[in-house]
Amino acid sequence: MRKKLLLAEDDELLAALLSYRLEKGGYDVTLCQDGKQMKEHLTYGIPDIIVSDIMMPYFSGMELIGFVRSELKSNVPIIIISSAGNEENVLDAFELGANDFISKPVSPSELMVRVARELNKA
Amino acid sequence: MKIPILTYKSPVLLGAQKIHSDLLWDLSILFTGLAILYFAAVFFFRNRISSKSEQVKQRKKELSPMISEFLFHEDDAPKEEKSNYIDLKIEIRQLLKSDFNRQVLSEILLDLRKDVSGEAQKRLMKLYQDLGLHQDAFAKLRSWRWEVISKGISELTQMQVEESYSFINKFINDKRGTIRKQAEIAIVTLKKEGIDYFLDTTIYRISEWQQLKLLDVLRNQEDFEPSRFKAWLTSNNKFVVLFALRLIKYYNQNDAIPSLIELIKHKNNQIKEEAISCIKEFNVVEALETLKLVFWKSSVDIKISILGAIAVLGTKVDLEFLRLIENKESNFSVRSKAISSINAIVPGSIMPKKGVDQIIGNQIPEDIVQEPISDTDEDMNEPSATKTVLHSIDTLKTEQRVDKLIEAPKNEEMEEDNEKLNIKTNIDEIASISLDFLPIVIDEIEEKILKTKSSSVTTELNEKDISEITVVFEEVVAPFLEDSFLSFENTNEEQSSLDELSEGEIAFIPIVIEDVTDSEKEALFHEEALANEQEIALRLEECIEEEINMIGLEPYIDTDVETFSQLHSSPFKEEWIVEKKQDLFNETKEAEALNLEVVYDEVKIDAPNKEEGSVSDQFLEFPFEETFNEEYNELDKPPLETSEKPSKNVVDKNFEIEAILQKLPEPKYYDGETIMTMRLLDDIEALGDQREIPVLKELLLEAKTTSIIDRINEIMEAFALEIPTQPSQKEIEPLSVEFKPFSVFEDLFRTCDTEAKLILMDEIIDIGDEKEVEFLKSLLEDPEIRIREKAEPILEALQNRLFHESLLFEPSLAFIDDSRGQDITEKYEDSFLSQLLSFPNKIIEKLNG
Repeated sequence: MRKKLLLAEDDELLAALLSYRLEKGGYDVTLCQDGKQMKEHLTYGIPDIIVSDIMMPYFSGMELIGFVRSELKSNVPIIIISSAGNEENVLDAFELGANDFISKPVSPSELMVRVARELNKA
Repeated sequence: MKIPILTYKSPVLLGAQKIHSDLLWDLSILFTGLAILYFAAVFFFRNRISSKSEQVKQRKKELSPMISEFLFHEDDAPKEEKSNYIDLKIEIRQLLKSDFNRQVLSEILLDLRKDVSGEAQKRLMKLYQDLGLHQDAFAKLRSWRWEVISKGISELTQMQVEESYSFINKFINDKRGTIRKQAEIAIVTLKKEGIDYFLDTTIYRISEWQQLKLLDVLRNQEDFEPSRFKAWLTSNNKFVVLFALRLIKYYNQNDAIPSLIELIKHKNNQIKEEAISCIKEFNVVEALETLKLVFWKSSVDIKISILGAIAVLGTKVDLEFLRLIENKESNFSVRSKAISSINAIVPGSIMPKKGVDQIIGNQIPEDIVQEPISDTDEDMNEPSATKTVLHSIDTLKTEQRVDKLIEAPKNEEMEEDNEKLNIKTNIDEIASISLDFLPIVIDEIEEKILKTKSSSVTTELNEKDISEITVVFEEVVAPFLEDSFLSFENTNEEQSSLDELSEGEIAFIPIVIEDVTDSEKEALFHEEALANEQEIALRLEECIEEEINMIGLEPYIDTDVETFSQLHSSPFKEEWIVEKKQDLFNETKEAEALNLEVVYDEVKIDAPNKEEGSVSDQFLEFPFEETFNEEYNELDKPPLETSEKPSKNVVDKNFEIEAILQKLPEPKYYDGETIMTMRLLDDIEALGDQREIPVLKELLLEAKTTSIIDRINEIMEAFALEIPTQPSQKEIEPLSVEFKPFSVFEDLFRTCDTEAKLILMDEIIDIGDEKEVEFLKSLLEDPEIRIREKAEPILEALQNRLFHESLLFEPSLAFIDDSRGQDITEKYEDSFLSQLLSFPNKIIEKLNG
């Protein structure tokens, strides 16, 4: 059975590229363009893993982690995509409960490995 | 008085002309029209732009999955995917015919280039070129608009189109700044040698920001090997020199020292400052003199830089120069930098003076002196320091105390200080002064402490004189020892407190023994030697156990081998211990001369194994100074009065050591140049061979000292005797394997499709030779069945042709055995019959057609 992956990325091109790669890697990818959509999706059901950009419209990646961990009380693995040189945000994200992070520019192959690793841990 | 009424007939209003209302209407209509037109144009263009962006967005959405498909397509994909991929290729070829699509595709790829890394990024760049989008960027370079050219250069740089290098380098000296800067970055990015070209050719200013960007590009280049940037220190463009200096500093290229020293004299302050910075970084001591010469005519900033460099590089010799600056220089910043440099070279040589209170003549406040002092519990709340001061002042009034203090031995240094201070102040005046700065004064202190701590101050002045106060200076004591040290005064408590300390805590201080007799000393040494011996034994046993545990094997016990305990009880071991004792005893003798008996920490040396050889083989003592030897001999009393008498071997061994020491060569002292030459010669000897003889001859001509000449001759003789070794067969074989014949068809087959391969295979029959035989054999295992099938007959045909050719032109080759590469004729040259017999049947068959 294909694992459900929720991908939140506001850059459409990158989102499409990563989504294609992840789907090709055997994941059932749900794509969200912003935090609002992401929140809606999460209220319907929690995926097996979440990959989210930190900087997103309406609802940032940080808020998303807080929402998942505090409100939904879920331990679903969360991988954060952050811009290079944004270490403070990354540290905050880890404090809030993110499991891993990958910095931009993203290597799709690396993302695949990280996703697989987090799912194996879970 | 009549006030004139202003009417239209009034001369004031004569200037205002009558405006026709028609004209006003016309103008209103005109401006309204223009406004409408303007708004219409705004709306039109806005809509056009937004619709275009919408179109682009839409097209991006359509094209991005195609790009993803191209990027992540793999050759081993299933058939369905492969067919989709082919369809996609066809589709994209159609799309590329439209300029709009090409533009959108370029945008997508450029956007993604920023967001992805790794393999995906490389594929992206390749795709950009495969789709021919770089041609559009080349077209942009031909534009007359600077922004278009700049964009074109940027695209080609981002997509790493190396072939654009030769087109872009023309813009290096473009008069338009934006294009020039873009071209500079492109040149440095596209090729590793780009930085060299840029530094060679640029004639314009290189801004600080641009320098940073270029350095960033260089830093991020993979496997970048920087050129020796000292080559550009002679450039006519001062910005190139400046940038080169920065690059030299960044890449630590310290081979440009003479040029750097010269650049200190440069007229340009920036270059001068950068050169000084490099000199400081590379610790170029040779530059000190030049720095001093340049100093006086430099600007303030440069002066400060120079002083900063002197602070790092300078020695005490340079203090004179710095003091001269301190005295002569008018600028405060320079002067204070000079002071800080002096303090950097000799820390604490200049102390702060301004704003520091002079404590000479300060007195204890009167009210404090006059207040009665009691030792009751009420006074316990007062600060202890103040209390002790008051108490001591009170007691100072007693003559007995004064006499006692006068009798106490005085510290010479303290006396000198007191003389300088010339303390003649009245205690009555002290009241107004804070007591924080005062040293702690203690009332009753043991005379012993007064002696040892040298803290008493005595004067012949009146009894209220402050100098009569006994001052106990603050002592720095290790925290853990503080209590015990203080209790040192009380002899009863002393021993107990010291006993409480662990051995490790007091390990840093030498052990001082009072009045120990020789026999006791010996006993002590003996005990320690035995303790060390036991410790060594235990450690070795532990090590052995650890090793056994690591290996996981039981220890192998050989009865023939001397056991460890036996080894320790061996006479040799005893000798070694006795020798150590003798050394320690002699050291103690020396210490006795200083009225102190010091037991030095023994250096724990693993006992040399008896089986490994004599002591003289392994044990070398430090050479003693002559004077020390004399003392040593005086103190060297014959045999220690131990229960174990030293055997003859001890004496013999001492003689042996002395003999070895005598045999040791006299030390030779070389100057710096000779040391360098000797090191070079050592390297030549270690790494070189006969080929170095000419170099050695050259060195011989230049050699100044006999030691170098001797050394060179020695090496040359050694090389001359060497016989050049021929490479062995084993060494040659891998080379022959490495340089096996390479078929040109093999290279062609890598890039062409199956149809082309089949055509090429036909050509092999006509133009192929031995090189193609191996290649055709490899094709017999090709995954493509058509190639496999065709390779077999072609191989046969080629072999036939080659065989016939060999018979026609070089019959001797027919006798070559391919399998061994050995001429059979050598084997069978005895008889013709044997040669005939050696013909393989296959060849005879082929000869027969």
